[in-house]
Amino acid sequence: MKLVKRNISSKDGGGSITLRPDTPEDLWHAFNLLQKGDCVRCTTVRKVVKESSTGSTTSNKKRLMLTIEVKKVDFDPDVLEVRISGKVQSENDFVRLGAHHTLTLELNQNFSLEKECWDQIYLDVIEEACNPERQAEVAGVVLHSGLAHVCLVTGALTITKARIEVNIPKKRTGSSQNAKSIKKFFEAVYQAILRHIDFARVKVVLMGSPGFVKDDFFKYLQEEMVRRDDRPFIENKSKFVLCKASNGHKHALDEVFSDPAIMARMNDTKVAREVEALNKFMRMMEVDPDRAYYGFAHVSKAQEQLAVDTLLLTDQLFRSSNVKARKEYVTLVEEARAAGAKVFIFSSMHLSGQQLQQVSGVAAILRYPLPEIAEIGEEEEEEVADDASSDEEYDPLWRVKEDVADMGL
Amino acid sequence: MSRHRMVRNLTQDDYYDDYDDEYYDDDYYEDDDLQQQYAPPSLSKPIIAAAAPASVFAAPVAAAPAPRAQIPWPKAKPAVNTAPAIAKGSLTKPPPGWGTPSNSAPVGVAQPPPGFAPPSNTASVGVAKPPDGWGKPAALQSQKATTLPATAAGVMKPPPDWGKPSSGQEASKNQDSKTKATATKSKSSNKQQGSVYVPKPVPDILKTAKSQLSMVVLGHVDAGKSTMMGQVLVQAGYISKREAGKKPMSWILDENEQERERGVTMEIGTKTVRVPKHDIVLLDAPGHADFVPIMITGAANADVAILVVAANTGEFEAGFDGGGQTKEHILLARGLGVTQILVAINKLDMEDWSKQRYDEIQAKVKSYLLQQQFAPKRIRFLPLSGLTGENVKSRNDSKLSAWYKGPTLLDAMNDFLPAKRQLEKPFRFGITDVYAEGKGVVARGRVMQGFVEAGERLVVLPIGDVVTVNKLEHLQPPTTDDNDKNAFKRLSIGMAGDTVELVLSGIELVRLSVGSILSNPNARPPLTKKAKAKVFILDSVTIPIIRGARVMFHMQSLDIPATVSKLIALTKGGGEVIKERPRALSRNSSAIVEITLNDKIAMEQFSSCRALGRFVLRRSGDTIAVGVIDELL
Ligand SMILES: Nc1nc2c(ncn2[C@@H]2O[C@H](COP(=O)(O)OP(=O)(O)OP(=O)(O)O)[C@@H](O)[C@H]2O)c(=O)[nH]1
Ligand SMILES: [Mg+2]
Repeated sequence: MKLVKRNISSKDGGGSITLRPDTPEDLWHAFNLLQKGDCVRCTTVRKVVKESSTGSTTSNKKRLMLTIEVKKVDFDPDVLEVRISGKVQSENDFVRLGAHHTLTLELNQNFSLEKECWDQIYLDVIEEACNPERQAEVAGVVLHSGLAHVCLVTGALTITKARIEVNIPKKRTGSSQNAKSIKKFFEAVYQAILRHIDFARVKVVLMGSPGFVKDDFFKYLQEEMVRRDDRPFIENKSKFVLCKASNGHKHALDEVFSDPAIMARMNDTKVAREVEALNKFMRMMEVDPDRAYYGFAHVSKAQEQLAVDTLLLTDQLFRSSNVKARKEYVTLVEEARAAGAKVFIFSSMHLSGQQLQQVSGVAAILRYPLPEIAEIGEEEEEEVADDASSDEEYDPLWRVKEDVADMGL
Repeated sequence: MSRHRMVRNLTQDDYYDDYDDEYYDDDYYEDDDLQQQYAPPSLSKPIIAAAAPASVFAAPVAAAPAPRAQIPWPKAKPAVNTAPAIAKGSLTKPPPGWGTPSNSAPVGVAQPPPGFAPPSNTASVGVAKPPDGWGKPAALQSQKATTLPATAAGVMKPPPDWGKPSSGQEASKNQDSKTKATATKSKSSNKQQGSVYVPKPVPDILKTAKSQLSMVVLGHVDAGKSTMMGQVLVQAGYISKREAGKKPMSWILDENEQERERGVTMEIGTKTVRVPKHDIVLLDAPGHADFVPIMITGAANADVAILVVAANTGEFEAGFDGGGQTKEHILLARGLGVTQILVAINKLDMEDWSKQRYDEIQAKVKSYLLQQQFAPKRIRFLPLSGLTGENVKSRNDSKLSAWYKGPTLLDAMNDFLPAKRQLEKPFRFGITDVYAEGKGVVARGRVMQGFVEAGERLVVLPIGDVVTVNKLEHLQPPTTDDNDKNAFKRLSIGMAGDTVELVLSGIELVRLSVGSILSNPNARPPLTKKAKAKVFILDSVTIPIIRGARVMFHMQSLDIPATVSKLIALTKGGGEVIKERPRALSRNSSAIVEITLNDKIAMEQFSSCRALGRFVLRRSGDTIAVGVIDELL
C-alpha cells in the first residue's frame, strides 16, 4: 500500500488519508480501515440514465469521482474485493446528492478516506500495510487420500486457491480402480499447484498430510515434472517442504504452521507468530487455567488489575459497526500496551484468527493467576460469539438489494 | 465383581451406561446378572420403539456350544468370496470441472432436486407410508401411529400432536430467542415421536435369518493384524496355500502397491469368512497412528473386535504404553459401540510360548479393558502366532499345548455372541465405498437398521437424490436353512448388520460419496449441523477443550470439520450436572456440549439410531472425545 497523502489533525485525530492499494492484501487492510460513517472518495463507474426530449432514455456507464458516506462494507474472500455502499456526498452533474451508490476499491487506484477520529488501531493498520518489507507469501497444501486444499498464505490472508475432492474406491481384489483414482487425484493436485502458485512470489510450499500421502504425491510430482518438463516445478523444487498434517481439510493448515521446524524456516511471518501465541494461550489453559482467560468481561477485568501479559484479539472486533463496542476494544489495547503487555491482532482471514474469533475474539495470558475472575458471569461473551457467527453468514440478497438501489430504483 | 467395580469408579464414572449391553438379547445369556451389575440404577429401560420378538434372535445359537476341535468347518467357497471381477477400462468419469479446480466450491455437494420432500429435520422424520398390512403388527404401533391419516401422496402429514409441520418450524426459527426455547422443545418432542416408525412388516424369511457379523481387527501398527487375517483365510480354506505362496501372508489383505511396498496397512481390508455360527465380514484396520480416522470407519461398522497385541519384548510395551495405538483403539471401539472383544496375544512364537509373558500381557490389557467398561464376560484372550499359524485353527506346538487348553482363533470367532438387530426401525445404510463398473454405480456399505430389498427407491443424504436399487449383492451369500423353500429370497434382502453392495440407478457416480446415508424417502434421518451431545473427554487430552475449539467430527465414514460451540455443563458420568457453563473441559471428564458442523449431515439422536448417534472428536491427529447425540438443534 502506498500512503499518498496524510492529513490528520493532531488535536482530535480527525482528518483524511489518501492510499493506493497495490496488492490484494492491501485491499484487506483497506477493508479493516473502513467503518460506517466514514467518507470515501475515489473514481468509480456509474450507470447514468439520460432522458432525451422525446422521452426515450439512454443509459451508459460513466467513470466519475464520487464521495460516499459508508453505510456497509463487504469483503469477498473469493474474488478479493472490497465493496462499499452508501449515500453520495458530493454534488455532481450526473449523480444527485444522497443517491445510493456501491463502489469497489480497485488495485492501483487512489482512494481517500476521511474519519472523525483516526485511533491507534487504524494507524497501526496503515503502518503495517505500508511497510515496504513485504511479507513473503507461503503456499500451503494439505491432503489426505481423496481430499486436498491448495492455499496461499500472505501476511494477513489465507486464500483457498483450490479444493480437490476425488472419490477413491477402496482396494478390491482384481480391481485397479483404487490405483487409478489415486493417480487421478494426484494429477488434480499437481495441476492446481501449477496453476495457482506463482513461484516468483512464493518462498516456500508447505505440503502436509497424514501417513505417506505427501511422500507419494511428492514422488509423483517429481516424476511428472521431469517427464513434462514443467519448468516452474523443476526450478523451484527446493521450495517444497514436507511436513505433518492430520488431514486434508483446510484447518489442518494450522498444524503445518505450528510445526517448530517449519516455523524456523518461515522466520517470523505474521501467521507463524499468531499460531504460536494462540498455542501458548491454549497450553496455559491446561497448565494454569487461572492465568488464561477469554471473553471481553474476563479479559478486561484482568486488565483492570494490570495482570495482562499477552493480549490476543482478532481484527474482526475492530470492524464492529457498533462504534461503542469498537471503542472498548481500542481502549483495552491501548491500556494493555501502556502497561507493557504484548498485543497481537490476528487477521480473521487466517485460521488462527478464525479460531480466536470462535473463542469470542479476545483472550489473554496473565502474568499471575487470578482465580476470582472465573466467578464473573459470561453473559456478554455469549453475545459476542453470536454476533460473530451471524457476521459470517453471507447474505447474497443484500448485494442484489444494494444493486437495485444503486440503479436508482 | 468388586474388583472391576473399583477400577471403574476410579475412572470414567458411568459414561457408558448400559445402553450398549441392550445391543444383545439379554434373555439369551446365562450371565444375566452381569447386566444388572453394570446398569446404573437410575437409568431407565431402552427408548427403542419396538423390541424384536425374542424368537427372531434366540433361534440360531440357542444350542449348547459344540465340543471344540470337532466343529465342522464349512467348505471353502472361494468363488463366492472374491470380489466380482471388474470390467477393464470402466474407469470412473471425473467430476465435471475436475481438471480445473479453480475455485474452492466443494465438488459433489448439491441441493436436493425440487419436487422432493425437503429433508427437513423435523416433520418428515419417521413418517412413513403405511405398509399394506399395517393394521396388523399391533405390537409395534403406538396409539398415535394407528391414527395417522392416510393421504394420497404417500408422504403422510403428521397428526397435529406431532408438533408443528415443517413450515411452522421454519417460521419459529425466525422468532426471537425467547420463543426459540419453546420451539426447540416442540421440535425435540417431535423427534421422540419420530422414532415411532411405522415399519414395513419384516418378511418371514428374516425372522429366522442370521445377519452377518462384522468383525474389526484392531491393534498397534505391526502387531500382526493383516498377517493373522491372511492366516485365517488360508486356514479356513478360502485361499489355497499355493496361492498364498511365498508372499507375506499380510498381502492377502494388503492389496495396494503402497501397502505392500511399505509393509503397512493403509486402508480397511474387507474379506469374508464363514464359521459354523456366523457369516463374518472381516475388517482389517490399519494400526498406524496417522490412519486412526480410517480405523474409526472400520470400528463404526463393527459388531465385535479382535484386538491384536504383539507379545514380543518391547513391542507390546511400545504399543500399549506411551503413545501406542492399542489403548486408543480400545477406547474408540468401545465408544463406537463394540462390546465384545477378543484379545489375540500374537507373536508368542518369539517369546518361546512363555505362559508367564502371556499372563503378564493379559493382566495389563484386561485391567485397561475393564476400565473402559468392557464387561468381563465379553473379554476373551488367546495366545497364538499369526505368522506360523499356531493356534489359528489347530495347535501343533507342544510348548503351547502344555499350558493352553482353550479355543483356537477360529473357534473363538465362532463363539462371538450374535448381535441383536433392529429390523423394525427405519432403514439406514451407510455408504463405505463407491465405484462404477460394468453393471452400474455401486455403493457398498452396511445396513445399520431395518432392511432393504432390490427394487426399492431410496434417498441419498445429504444430497437428497432419489435412487433405485437395481440389484443387491451380498459380500458372501448369507447362510440359509436348506429346508426352507423360500431361502433364496434372503439373497436379495439386506438386513440390519449385513454388508452389501447396492447397484443403483438414477444417480451419477460423482454425486455419490463415501459417508452418504441411504434411507427410505418417507422415513429419512434429519439433516443437521448442530447438535447437543454427551461427550467423554479422553485421558490423553493435554490441551483442554474450550468453547469454540475446532475439532474433526467423525461419524461412520464421515469426517467433518466442526466447532465445539457451547460447553453446556460438566457432568458426572450418569448425567448429573456438576457445573453449568464450564470454562473448559479437561481430560477424563464428562460433559454436555453443543457441536456445530461445517456442513449438514444426516444424524440422529442416539436413541433413534445408534449408528448415526455416535461420534468421535479428534484434533490435530489426536482422539480427544467420544460421544453420543442427545438432541438435534
Ligand atoms: N514372529 C512373528 N512375526 C509376526 C507375527 N505376526 C506378524 N508378524 C510380523 O510382523 C510384521 C507386521 O505384520 P502385519 O501383519 O503387517 O502387521 P499389521 O498389524 O497388519 O500392521 P499394520 O496393518 O500396518 O498396522 C510382519 O513382518 C510380520 O511378518 C507372528 O505371529 N510372529
Ligand atoms: Mg495390517
